[in-house]
Amino acid sequence: MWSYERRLQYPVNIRQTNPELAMVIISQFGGPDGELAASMRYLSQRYAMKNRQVAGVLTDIGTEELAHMEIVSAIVHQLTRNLTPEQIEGSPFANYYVDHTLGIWPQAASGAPWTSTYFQSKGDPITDIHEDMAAEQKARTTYDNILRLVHDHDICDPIRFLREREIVHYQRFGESLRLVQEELDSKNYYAFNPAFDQKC
Amino acid sequence: MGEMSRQEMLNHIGKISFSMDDLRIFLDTHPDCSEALVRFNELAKKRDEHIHKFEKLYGPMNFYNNNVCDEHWRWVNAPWPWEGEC
Repeated sequence: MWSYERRLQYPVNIRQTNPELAMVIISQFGGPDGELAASMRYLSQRYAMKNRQVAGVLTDIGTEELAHMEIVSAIVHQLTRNLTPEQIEGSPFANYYVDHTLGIWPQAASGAPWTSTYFQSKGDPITDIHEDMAAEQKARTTYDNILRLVHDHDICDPIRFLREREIVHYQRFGESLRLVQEELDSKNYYAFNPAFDQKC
Repeated sequence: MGEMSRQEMLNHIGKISFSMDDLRIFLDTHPDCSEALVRFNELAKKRDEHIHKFEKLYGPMNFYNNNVCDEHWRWVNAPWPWEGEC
């Protein structure tokens, strides 16, 4: 069960709208390495994660990713708040605006809609944690790409926070992988699925 | 609550919490309904008491207000809710 707190994990206060950047940053909401896919990935993978400690890491990071989704959404919202038709006309935001006005909808920077094919839940702890570590690095790369395009401190500040969290999550998943590997016996090192195959 | 098992306590907390979930969305659209407000406050107090008792016996229910013991982090020890009763 979840409960909501009326606060952002990191504050977002953007003074200057920027519909062009909103169209880039929205990828970290609904893109292939975005926060929505991250949260759904970890929360879905928990059920096959027999190690309770690692299931806890998936629960807690999956929950934090929901908070990050809210931060990214708040950034996009503040970058497009109160735009006039004149500001939208001719901007890369125009195509998005036609379908969503100033609403927030999960899509990639390319315009591709969010899809669960952005992540895997393979039912194999070793496989899943490798995916999770890769996902954190891909998200970190994406935030680095975004930061090269952003020069407004109000936007950079929360993006830098999110980038840092990718690194911390990567470290925690690295430790999780070690915990799961320690439970394997010497005959099963990547030979079969420790959550499914018997006697491993 | 004296002789309740872990599962019985969880069921009891679940019932109180669901009543609060339901009252929450009712109060969102009826913010001045005094009957609902009184009921919500009663339930909130009851829930706090039960959660406190549960956490003392079986470890933390919530993350932010869990009563941490000084020697060991207990958040990941107890069964996760999706594991079921057996």
